Amino acid sequence: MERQSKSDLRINGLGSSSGGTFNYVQINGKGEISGDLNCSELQINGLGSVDGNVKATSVRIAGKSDIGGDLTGERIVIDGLVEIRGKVSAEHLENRGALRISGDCGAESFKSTGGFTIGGLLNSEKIEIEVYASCTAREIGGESVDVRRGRGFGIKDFIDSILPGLTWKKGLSVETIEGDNIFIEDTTAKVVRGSDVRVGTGCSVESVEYKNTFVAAPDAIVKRNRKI
Amino acid sequence: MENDLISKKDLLELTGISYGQLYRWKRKMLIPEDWFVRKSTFTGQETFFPRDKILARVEKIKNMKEESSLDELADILSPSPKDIEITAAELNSGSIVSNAAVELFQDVFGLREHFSFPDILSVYILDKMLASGDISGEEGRVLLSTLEGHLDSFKGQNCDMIFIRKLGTSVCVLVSAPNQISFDKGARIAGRLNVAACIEELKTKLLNGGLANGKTI
Repeated sequence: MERQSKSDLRINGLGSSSGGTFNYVQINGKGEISGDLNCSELQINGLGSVDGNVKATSVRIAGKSDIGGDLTGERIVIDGLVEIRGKVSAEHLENRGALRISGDCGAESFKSTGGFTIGGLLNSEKIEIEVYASCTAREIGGESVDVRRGRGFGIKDFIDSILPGLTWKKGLSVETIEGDNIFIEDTTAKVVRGSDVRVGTGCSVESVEYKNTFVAAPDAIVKRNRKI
Repeated sequence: MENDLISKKDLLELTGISYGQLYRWKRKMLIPEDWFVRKSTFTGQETFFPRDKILARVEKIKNMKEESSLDELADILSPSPKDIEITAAELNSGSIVSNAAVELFQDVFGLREHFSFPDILSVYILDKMLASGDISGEEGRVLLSTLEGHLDSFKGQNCDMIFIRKLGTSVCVLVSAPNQISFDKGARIAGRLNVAACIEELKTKLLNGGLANGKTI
């Protein structure tokens, strides 16, 4: 392993930097980085923006952030409100906040208990989504896709109980899902293709194409299914 | 064009690979992004691939993944240059490039002890163009200086090298691919090579020749 004496970048309060290569980068408060950022650890609490591409081994964003380019990292944890205008590639990506990605998102493992909007393809070996909020992707592809209705603390139930008229859009909506092992709940999709497909409660799928097995819950809407 | 494409469904059936594998290979960039062609069909959006290219690539990955890891494969197949260096003697002795090309390279840039990957690539492209008779030795110098000066700026993106001749003057152009490019009537394309394809060929040759192994910096 290379061990260079790279400096740290800390912004507490209001600050800006032109980017570059660092060891540890922390933004508490409001920080603006114009240019590319390369570091081993990036932590943003508060407001942070990076104009260019971000490459970091470990990334944790707990505030509101805006990344103008691509985000590349080994371990990425999102707790806040994050917008990425490029694409994301990671080993492990965990989203507990609200994540918006304009391009594709590739990760060896993708776990989400928050909301997300992915403009392109969500491509991951293992996709686990617990649906508490609105989730959207153009395409989802991978080895195993597991989408479940959120069963934790029901903030939605609470809001529904005091404001029954409010339509709270939640669930996953996606054009196509492709994978070897697929289990979905609360999902609206045009096409679901896979080897073993289970369509659970709250789903509406126009067409399912499967290789081995196909099971649908009684209340799931599946217009067509075809064994190929 | 239609006939040259294969749908993802047909591809999986024909080659016996799974969605998981295909997506994994895509993630590792074993399959270039621009091969994924999205089209609207009556069953919704479907993805198509250039038939010959994808079948050859899948076959290659299937054969090579026995002995190499996916990351090593990605290194061979990706268009970003590899960190290898071989000596002039090894380059001469190998059947990778002809001596004439190496001599021309050394004539332009001076004698060298070691050749880095971009250098070997320049020699390789030069050798291919010379061997096919598309360009003359003098034009080879133009080619080398273009490659030396500008190949870096493509930073691993796919590009084409085009050699144009008009009224006895020759120009070497590097253009990012896939891209359409047109010339006036008097101009003639003397030769065109896809740099990514050259890199892939070269890496495979280096690996097979045992030169890349153990020589990695």
